[in-house]
Amino acid sequence: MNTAALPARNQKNGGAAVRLEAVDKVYRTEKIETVALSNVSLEIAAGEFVSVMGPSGSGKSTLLNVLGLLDAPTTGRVVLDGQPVNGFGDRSLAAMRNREVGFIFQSFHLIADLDALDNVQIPLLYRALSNRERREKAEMALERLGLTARVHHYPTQLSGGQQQRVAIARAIVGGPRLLLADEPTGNLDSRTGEDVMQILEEYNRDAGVTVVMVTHDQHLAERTGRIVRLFDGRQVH
Amino acid sequence: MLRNYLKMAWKVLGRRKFFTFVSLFGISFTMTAMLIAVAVADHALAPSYPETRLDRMLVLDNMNMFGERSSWHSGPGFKLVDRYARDLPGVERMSVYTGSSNASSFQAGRKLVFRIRHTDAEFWRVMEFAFVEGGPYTEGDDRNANRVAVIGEGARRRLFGAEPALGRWVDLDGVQFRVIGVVRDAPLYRMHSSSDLWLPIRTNQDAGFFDRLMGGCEAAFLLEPGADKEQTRAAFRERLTRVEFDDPKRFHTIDGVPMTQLELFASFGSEPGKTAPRLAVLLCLLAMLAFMALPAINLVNINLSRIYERAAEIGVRKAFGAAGRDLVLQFAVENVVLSLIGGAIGLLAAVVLLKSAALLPSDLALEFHVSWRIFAATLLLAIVFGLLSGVWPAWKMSRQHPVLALRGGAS
Repeated sequence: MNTAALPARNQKNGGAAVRLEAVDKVYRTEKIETVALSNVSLEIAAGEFVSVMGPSGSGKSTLLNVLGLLDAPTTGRVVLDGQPVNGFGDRSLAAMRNREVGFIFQSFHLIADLDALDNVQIPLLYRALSNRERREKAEMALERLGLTARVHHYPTQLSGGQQQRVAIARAIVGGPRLLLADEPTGNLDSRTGEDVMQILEEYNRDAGVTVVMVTHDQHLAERTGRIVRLFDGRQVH
Repeated sequence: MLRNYLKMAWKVLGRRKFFTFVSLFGISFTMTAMLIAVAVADHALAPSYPETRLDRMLVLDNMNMFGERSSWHSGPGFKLVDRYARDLPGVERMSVYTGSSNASSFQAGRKLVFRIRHTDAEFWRVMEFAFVEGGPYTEGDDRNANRVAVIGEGARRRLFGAEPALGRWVDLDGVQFRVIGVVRDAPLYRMHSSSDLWLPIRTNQDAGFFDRLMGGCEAAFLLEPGADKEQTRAAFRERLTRVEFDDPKRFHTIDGVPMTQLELFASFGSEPGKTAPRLAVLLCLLAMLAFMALPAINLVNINLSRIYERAAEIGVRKAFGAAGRDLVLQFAVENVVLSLIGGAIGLLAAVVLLKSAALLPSDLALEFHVSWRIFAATLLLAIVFGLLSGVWPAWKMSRQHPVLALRGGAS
């Protein structure tokens, strides 16, 4: 990835990009209560690359969703970039996600009806930008990921690796402080997965963006600065 | 952002062709039916040829005469109009005429049936017919019961082919009439003027026609510009209290008022003098809303499944910063686009169907035009339809939890 043009992220506070304080997440239906996270306290420093590991159902994705403000904790506090977000309404949370967080999903979640350029523009749609500004930013992001020749390709016309790179371009186009990747290499072969991992490493290293990555792959996890392990919703050391 | 939503709307239309077809069929069919109803109502109730001054016309076509044991419900008779309806305040002109009835004519061994209407000479000044040959009959023609006729272009074609008709004779039920004028045909739905042939009212040979208080006639009152129709009606009602009845033991009271076209429409089937145009208009609007609501509800259903399919997209948009209102706006725009396309198809179908009415037998003179008024109605209907069927599913889906939506599920 060409990271020369990437802006270094503002590492204000000199410390936590995101902090969870005694977070519980319980899903309740009429008959069943499922504890997805239990008393999780976690501080992730700005610019850190953290991987989250654990068996299926251990709460990894829930942790990522809580970190990314997609899900609210049942109890406990979430502090993003020094700001407690508990009690924020739909619009405030949406604005904060738009500004501060980028998501990369295992199954890419590209919109099939939109080409690569339009997919990458999605986060910018919810900002006060002109069409031209949006297009230019999206083109730059795709260029960084080496996809200049694929700008007008639809997801079905792209390989898995290319789709994940478009998804990464979408995640970084808005310049988030926090990048959350949920098994970003899970649907890719090892060589393509390695490419994606390198992109995340370079982005973390060169742009100073905090990355939290859920993975089942021990080798990939060992390349990150810290591994957070979960078991039955609890953090284990 | 709007451009992006429009682009998305276009893509979504092409994605599920069957859904799109079903949605468009529902919308365009409803639009076609509504537009035809609007066009017909517009032509029937609004001023147009030859009743071009319908907006300041009152028509008396429904009376009720009753006594202790009897009642008689019909149009006014010639005597009633002639004696009691002339020179009412606020009236510029008044015409008395019959409804249309059938008469037979034998031409070169062929029997032709025509609609005929007997009218006074004033009829030609209250209505605004376009003469293509000759002119109308005069007060003198009427007073002297001259056997002259004005015919429509359709009747001329049937009687004389492509040849001019002026001065030629028409046999009607064994009586010869000389053609003195030919007019452009009046459409069938012009209830107060349409006919194939018009004859002086004094040539009417029905026994006792001129001595009846009830039956056989209508009267049209052309009001002076700015005249108060209530004043005219009050004066007429007052005159009705002074009517001399032929047999007061049998009938002693008569009731009925001249009405506007909308009041006539609204009072259809009700007692003379009792009109409820506001209620009728309200009922029409409710019927239209109900008619639109049925396909709209169906479309809500289709839209819900259509939007549920896009749960993951909703999750992605929420993850990247879309608030609920952004998603409502996006889906509302998509639905309005769909409805506008449906509206355009509906408008096209309505135009084709309305124009094809002109291909029906030409003497029916059914001519409907799609005006800017109707185009604006289509646009409005399409947007209302789009919003009716799109906003609720969009609002429901915008409240979808992003995590659940990303899994592609529905709550």
